[in-house]
Amino acid sequence: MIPLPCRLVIAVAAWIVPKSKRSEWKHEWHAELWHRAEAGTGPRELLDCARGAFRDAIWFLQNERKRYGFDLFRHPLRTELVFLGAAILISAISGALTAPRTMYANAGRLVTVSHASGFAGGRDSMFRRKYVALVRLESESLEDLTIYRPVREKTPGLLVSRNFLPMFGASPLLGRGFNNGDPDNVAIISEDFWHQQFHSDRRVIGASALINNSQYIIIGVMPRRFWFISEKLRFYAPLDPSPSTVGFVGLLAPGQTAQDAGAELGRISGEVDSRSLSKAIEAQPLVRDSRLLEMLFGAIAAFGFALLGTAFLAIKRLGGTRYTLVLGTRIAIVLLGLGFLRLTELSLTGPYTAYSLFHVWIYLLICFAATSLLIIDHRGRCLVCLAKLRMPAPIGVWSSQILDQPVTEYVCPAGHGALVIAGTGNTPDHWTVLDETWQDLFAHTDQ
Amino acid sequence: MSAPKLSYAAASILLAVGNDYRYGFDIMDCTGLPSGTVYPALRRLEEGRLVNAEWEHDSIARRDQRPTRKYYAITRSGEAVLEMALKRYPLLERIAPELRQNVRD
Repeated sequence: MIPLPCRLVIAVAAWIVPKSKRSEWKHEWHAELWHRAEAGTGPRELLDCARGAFRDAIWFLQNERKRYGFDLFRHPLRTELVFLGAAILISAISGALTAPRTMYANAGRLVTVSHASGFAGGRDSMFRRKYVALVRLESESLEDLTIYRPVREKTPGLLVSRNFLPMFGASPLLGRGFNNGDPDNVAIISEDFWHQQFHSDRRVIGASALINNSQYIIIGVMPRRFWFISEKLRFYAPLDPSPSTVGFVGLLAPGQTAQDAGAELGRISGEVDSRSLSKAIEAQPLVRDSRLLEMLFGAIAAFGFALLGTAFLAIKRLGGTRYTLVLGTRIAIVLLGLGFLRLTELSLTGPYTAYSLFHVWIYLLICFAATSLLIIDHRGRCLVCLAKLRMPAPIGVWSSQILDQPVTEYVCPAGHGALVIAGTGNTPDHWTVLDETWQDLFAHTDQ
Repeated sequence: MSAPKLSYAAASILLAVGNDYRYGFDIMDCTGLPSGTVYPALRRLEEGRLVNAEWEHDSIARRDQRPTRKYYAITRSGEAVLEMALKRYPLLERIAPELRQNVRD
């Protein structure tokens, strides 16, 4: 009886052996190991012997490559499906398909509030301080709220109430958060600011820094993954009582939804001297799950580029419906896989990259490159069996090679036909079916 | 077309096959080479038609209640190449008679 580890080794190595030889190869190895085991060889020695199966399998693979050349897409569609499966598996393992990653401990209960700005349908997140105070007193749908005001100066930052970090469930990388007894001239800086201005010096805690012409004592450093409003924020400092307008983020009470909070805040705003506010207040979840949107974007990109590929073949007047549909399917599958990988990347990097225009353009460029590679590969395949065409041969007499455009003829290894590809882009590719007189030449081909 | 030049390992393996060591693991035991060397070498020798590979008959294996084995045998051209290899590798030439003796025993 062959031990299980040996059988597993053989099973894994068998995947490397070309399919046509695989069954016989496995039988040979199993038989040898069986006889060795029967002769009394120990399990460790058997496993040592079994490991040689990998080198044996690689020999078969190299031999086939020498004969047929290297073809990454030896089995079109199957290769693409394997890629899609691997991409989905990576997404599943990274957690991109389950809950979205977030740096906020209370992400599901945090809401931002905005109102119509009265300017071209825009929205504004700043409210009068008096209104915010009323919300804090009267709201039942919000358990707590934190207020903030952006600092739009040379060093961008945020003035926040002292419960800002505890409400987000975030804590500094170094140092501490704000305490009630802190003076107004303390600050928590961002990790990027710490690297740039303080050269990652851990003695920054307690150090003094001049930020926007004001002196601050550094009490903490926020990690790079903490994000609120903008990734460009460099510091957080306590909000002083003076600003008349502030933004606020609410923590939903248990059982409450953002819609409930929005409706209640609208009612409360009626008590403030601003009637227009009451109709247009909206509470939105701070962290929105954009995975569905991202997948939709990926699917649209996949469909769009698949259409592009099939249109290319139509322009070239090459192949029938099946040939064209296979290319479209290959492109769609690969780009869907890229969509899953993008989802994984977004879940690992953070929410702000999803909306970066640069990021979107890079993704579309990758899709375009993948589509182009697939079109180039597909164009070099037999229209009947999709095997890689071989034996490129220049066509035409010498003089016509100079006066006419150069053409190259490729042949299907199974003898289905020959494809003539012009060197310039204006002439359509030409497929010729080989008649039965050619079949004898390909009768021995191991396909 | 000139005869292929064998490496020392391939020559040892061909010598073993030529002396009736017919199965992969028997060749391993005889030459002391690991399976990762013996099997690829056997494939190359088979491709170069220096050895023939054949599965034993099903009935033999069934009678003994064991899986069928593939056994290797040296060809005529294999013998010619082996002769040249023994001249190249004097040590192999010296141990060749011992090998034959072991098999007879």
